[in-house]
Amino acid sequence: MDQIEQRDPELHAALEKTWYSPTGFPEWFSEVNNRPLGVRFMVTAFAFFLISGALTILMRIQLIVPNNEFMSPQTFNQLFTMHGSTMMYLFAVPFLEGLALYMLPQMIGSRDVAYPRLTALGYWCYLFGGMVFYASFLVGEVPDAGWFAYTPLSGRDYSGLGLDFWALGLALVEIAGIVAGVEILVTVLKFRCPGMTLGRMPPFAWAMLVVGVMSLFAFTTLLVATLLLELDRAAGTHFYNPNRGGSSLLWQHLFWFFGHPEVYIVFLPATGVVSAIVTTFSRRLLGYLLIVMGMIVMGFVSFGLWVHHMYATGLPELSMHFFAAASLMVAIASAVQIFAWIATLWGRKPPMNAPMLYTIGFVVIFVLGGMTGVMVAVVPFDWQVHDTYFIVAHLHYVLIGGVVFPVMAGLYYWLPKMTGRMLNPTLGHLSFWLTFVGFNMTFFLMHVMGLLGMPRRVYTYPAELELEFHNQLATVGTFVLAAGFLVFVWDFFRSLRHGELAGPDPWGGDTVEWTTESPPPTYGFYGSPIVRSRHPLWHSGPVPGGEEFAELAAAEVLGGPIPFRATMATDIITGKPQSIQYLPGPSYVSLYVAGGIVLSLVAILMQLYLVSIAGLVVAVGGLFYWLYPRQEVIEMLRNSEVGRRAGLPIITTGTRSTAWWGAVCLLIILGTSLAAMLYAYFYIQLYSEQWPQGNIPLPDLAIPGVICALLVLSSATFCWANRSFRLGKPMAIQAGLTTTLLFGTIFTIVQTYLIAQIPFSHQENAYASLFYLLSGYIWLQVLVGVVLLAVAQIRIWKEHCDREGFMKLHMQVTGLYWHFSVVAGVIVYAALHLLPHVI
Amino acid sequence: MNEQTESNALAGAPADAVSDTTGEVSRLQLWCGLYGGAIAWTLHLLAAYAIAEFGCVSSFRDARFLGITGVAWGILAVTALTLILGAGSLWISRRSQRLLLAEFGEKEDDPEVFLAHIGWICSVVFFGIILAQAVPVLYYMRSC
Ligand code: HEM
Ligand SMILES: [Cu+2]
Repeated sequence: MDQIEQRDPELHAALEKTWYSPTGFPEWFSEVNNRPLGVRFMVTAFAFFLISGALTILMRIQLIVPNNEFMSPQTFNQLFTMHGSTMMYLFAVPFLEGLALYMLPQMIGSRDVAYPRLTALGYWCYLFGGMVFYASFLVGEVPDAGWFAYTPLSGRDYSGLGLDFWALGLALVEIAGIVAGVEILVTVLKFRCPGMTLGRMPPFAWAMLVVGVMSLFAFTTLLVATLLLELDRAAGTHFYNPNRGGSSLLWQHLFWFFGHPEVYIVFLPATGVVSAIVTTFSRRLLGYLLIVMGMIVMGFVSFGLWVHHMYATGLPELSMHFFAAASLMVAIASAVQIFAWIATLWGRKPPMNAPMLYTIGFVVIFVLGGMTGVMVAVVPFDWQVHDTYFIVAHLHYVLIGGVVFPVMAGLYYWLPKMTGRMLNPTLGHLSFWLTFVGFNMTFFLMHVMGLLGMPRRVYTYPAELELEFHNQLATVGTFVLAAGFLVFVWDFFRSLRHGELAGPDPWGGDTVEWTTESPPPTYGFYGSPIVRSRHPLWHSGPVPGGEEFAELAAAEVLGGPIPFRATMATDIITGKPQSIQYLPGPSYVSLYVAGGIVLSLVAILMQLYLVSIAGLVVAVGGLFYWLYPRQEVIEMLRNSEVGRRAGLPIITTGTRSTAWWGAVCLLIILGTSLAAMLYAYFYIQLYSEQWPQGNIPLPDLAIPGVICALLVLSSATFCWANRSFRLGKPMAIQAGLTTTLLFGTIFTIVQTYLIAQIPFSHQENAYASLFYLLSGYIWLQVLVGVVLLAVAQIRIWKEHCDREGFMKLHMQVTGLYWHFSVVAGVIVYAALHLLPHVI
Repeated sequence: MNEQTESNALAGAPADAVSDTTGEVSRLQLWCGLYGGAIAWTLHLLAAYAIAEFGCVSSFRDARFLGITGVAWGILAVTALTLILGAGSLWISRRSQRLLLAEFGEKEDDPEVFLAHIGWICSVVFFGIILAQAVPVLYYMRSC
């Protein structure tokens, strides 16, 4: 496999036909291939980067002299809000997701990512979300509450329609983020080519694995937080309204529980890029174990730091210092990685080309940003510089140093693979030096400005502060910086036509993406990558599970023409071939579902609630069509010869099936959203004098208790059905499923009745809002479960004989969801009904 | 690797979870070694945060024993418990590492050896983080 692959024209044509990328109108909208969609992500995100960069130029012009009147304070507020939000939500995360969608399957030797239609859904949600953000300019109501939109400023008393655009656009982008998380996580776990054990994964894949898991938790929390914000604004609830028993600090807690991990969600992929570049150019990688350890530790610990953004809010000192300690520890984990890279480069004389230069620029800038980060993690220091330009300097050192520089490095490194053309080395040097110098001109003195007392987010400053020189240098620096990026953009377009041909492996890289032609064919790989070491193109070693087995499987699954889209699924630890995974082809369903969600959200903006419901119906209908298993496909897979030839199953169940992993991810998402809501509930209870608040009586115990007990029973009856399924007793299966369905239906009906009968309105106070929220959530959760059960029952009735194959998977997935709903129901019952009686 | 599982997979109809045990170290042990420390840290964070945030606004703050507040006692207790858990993870991962090294030698990219190594390093680091996070409470024994 250490040779560049040769192409057999017949096979190439067959594979092209199966994996074609639709072109023209409207077919373009049905694209599901990972590489075209990855490119769309990256192009869109880079466009947002340039737009957001243009906004900063306007801001810096305003700040060039004291008491300038170039723009009004309102406009300045709008600009920094849009700049910060765009950079964080519309550029950094989506760009790296796009890069991962494109590169990850190439690096791990897979034909595509795990859920192609989900990729498309993510892209459309992201694109529409960005459009909703910027649509605010059209109506002249631009968001202006900063990128973290603190309540009560972002509440409806102080902010207009602009904030609705912000919250709803963000909700869409969050959906995209969650979806990408699932996608990436399952792809890295299941779709590595034969031989790629966990210990042979490229660091970039490790980074994306950690990021995938983090996205599930972080974006879900933010999604809940923004939906509550939007409910406060549109439906008159009081979650964040202190006047009615809510809490504005609650928003800060939820936001930063997302916000800090977000920094690592963009930083970890960037470190993965840097590791790849450092490895290639020093022709080795030292400290692989430490790098991986650093990523895992950062992934966890970044969730335990959120309070360090809230030192100035009057929390108990004890808890502040507790989080300060954790913040210092995470710095050590980042430092370990940097030492590993330096050790790798030591004495190796890497070529000083654009990727390497940007990498070194990254290390220099990021180390400075990390040092100021440690400074502000120290509570009393933070009290001094909180909300000053010191923070602006720090965050740009971390974000531009830690994300933009690695992204540029990655582009210079991988663009030859993506376009097939080299970029110009001289222009690369020019671009680097302009950005590096421009960056430091812009931001270095901001540390000083902050210490001298210039607050952040002000549209001007008095001449007495004597900060004119600092600000002018910063403004000039911004133009230099912008020039650096424009040189790159120009070089990029130039290279598309005039660039030197790159060939498969221009840098002599070590990972399998360099074995394909550049750009890679639509089907990703021609032939059958087998990984025999951590640097598969440089060294060779044993293949877990045996050489012949891996070769046979790889040759059949990846090397031969299969009449449908498929890739190899392997064991999550050893990378042993495990099964053949069928993947769906082009489809409009993703666009349709995304359209439904957008319609429903935009209708809320315009207060057309019926339209909003219609949008929801469209989205749910689309999802149903999407998920409903197609009989033709099952038949086709059943009758396929490939599986037998390769000695691998095609129809899989349990941990071997991507559907199972998808279901587990769904449960993580649902569990996280429930946890966020329960956190809100207990947090508000903690700071309330009485519970329930106001004159609301204690909640009823009896009827909710009875239906909750029914729910628990239904879990047992489902187990019975499942057992009968394994034993192959059709009557007992039907009986078990019917009783489960019956209990579930009773629960839903009674719960509907109970919600309709609640003797107070959701606008009464925060308690009332929470009561409606949690009751409604569990109602919806069980309702969906009932539908799933009904579908399973009908299908089993029609398909009774299929015990080992597809129906087993269907039962497993339904069971996961159902048992989870039952647990959720019990928890909500305990929190909402039982506990208020006890304490 | 294990011959039986291999022929199993070749036959095309293996059981759901391939049991890739190398005899003495099971996958479960490897996973415990890898995530034990992280789980201990998570529990420590959740418990200590809850005690600090909720305890410092409740009567818990004023309850004292040996002059130390209930809050501080609570955090000390969860620290002790989670450190025990962390130590368990250290022990398991160290044991897997030793056994696997004896069996396979220093082959870092062998899947199991790798997991054992990384589990051991992560366990050490998380143990240290729990310790570090418990330091502030020593300064807040008598008040929040
Ligand atoms: C391209 C060069 C950039 C320039 C010249 C620039 C400049 C600025 C300026 C002038 C502000 C407003 C400071 C204030 O008045 O408080 C700001 C805020 C901010 N920037 Fe940038 N920035 C750049 C790139 C980035 C990037 C790449 C990111 C993130 C990936 C980013 C994230 C932010 C954030 C989060 C804020 C805070 C917004 C808020 O206060 O709500 N910036 N930036
Ligand atoms: Cu933070």
